[in-house]
Amino acid sequence: MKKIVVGLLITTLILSMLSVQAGTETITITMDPQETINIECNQSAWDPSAKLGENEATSATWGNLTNEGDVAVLVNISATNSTGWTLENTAGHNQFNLSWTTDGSAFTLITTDDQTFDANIPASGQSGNYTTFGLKLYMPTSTSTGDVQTSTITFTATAL
Amino acid sequence: MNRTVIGIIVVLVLMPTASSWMCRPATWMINMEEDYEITPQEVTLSLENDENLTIHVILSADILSPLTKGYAALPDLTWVMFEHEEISIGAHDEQQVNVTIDIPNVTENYGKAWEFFICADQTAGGETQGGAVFQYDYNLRWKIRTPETYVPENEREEHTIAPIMVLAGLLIVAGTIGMIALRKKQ
Repeated sequence: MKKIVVGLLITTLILSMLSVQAGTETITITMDPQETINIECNQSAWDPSAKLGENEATSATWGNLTNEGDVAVLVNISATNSTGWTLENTAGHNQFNLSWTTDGSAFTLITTDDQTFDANIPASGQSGNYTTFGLKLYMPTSTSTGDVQTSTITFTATAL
Repeated sequence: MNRTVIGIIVVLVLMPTASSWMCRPATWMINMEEDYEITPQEVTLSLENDENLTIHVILSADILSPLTKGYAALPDLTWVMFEHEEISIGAHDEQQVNVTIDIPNVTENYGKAWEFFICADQTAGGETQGGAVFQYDYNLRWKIRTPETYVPENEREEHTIAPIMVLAGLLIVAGTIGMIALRKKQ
C-alpha cells in the first residue's frame, strides 16, 4: 500500500516538473469596448479671394469629411458670425452668406444654428464613411470694417 | 570640365486638416438592471488630439438627434457631474475626465431607461486666420438603465463561500473516517 502511495506521489511530482519545464506561451488579448468618435476634414480652412459684392465657390468635391471613429454619426453643420459681419440669409451691409453643396447645383445655407449635414455617416472601415462637399460665399455688399474676417464652420458629430 | 548639376526638387504637398481630436466612449451603457439598488457610477471620458486645444464638456438632452427607441431623456442633468468642464490638451496628448453619475435612490427612479448626451466642444486652439476655418464638436450618447425594483439588503442573494466550506469540511470528515475504517480492516 505504502509503495503505491509513494509511487503516486513521485509520478505527480515528475508530471508537475515536466509541465513547468515545458513552459508556456502566452497570447495577450486586449479588448477595448469603448468606441471612439472622430471625424476629420481634409481641409482646415478656406481663404476665398472674392471682394465686396462678389461671390465665390469651391468645387463640389473640395472638402471631404470622413468618419474616422468606431461608431456611425449624424453630422450637423453651423458657422459663426465674424467679428465685424453677421451670417445672414442674404448678403448686405456687413452681412455675408455661406452655403454648402454636395452636387455643385443645390446649395444649403449655413446658419449659426446646427442643421443636418449628413444624417448617417458609417463608421470607419465601412463603405461610404465620408461625405464630399463644396462651399459658396457671398461677400457683403458694403462694409464698415477693413479688417480680415474669420468665420468658424463647426461640424458636430453625434454618436448614433 | 563643365559639370552639370542636376537638382532634384522635392515638392512636399501638405494637405492641411483641421485640428483633429477624438473622444471616447462615444456611446456607453450603464446597466444597473440586475442590481439591488441605484448606486453612484464613475466612468472616465478620454480626449485625444493633434494640436493644443481647449475642450469644454457640458450635458445636453436637446440636440438635433432623436433619442434611442425605448429611452427617455435624463430628467435631471445635475445628476451627472464632470471632474473638470474645461480641459486643455497639449499636442498628441490625452486627458481623462472622471464622470460621476449619481441618481437619487428613490422609488420613482427605479425601472427607468434614460439617455443623455455629453457635448464636447472645442473652444480654443486650431486655425484662426481669415476666411472660413473648420472645427469639430462631438456629442456622446450615453444610456442608463436603473434596477427594476429596490431589494432590501436582507433579501439579497448572498454569494458567500460558506456552502463550499461546509462541503469541504464534510469531505475531510468522510475521508478521515474512510481511512480509519480501511486501517482497521487491514
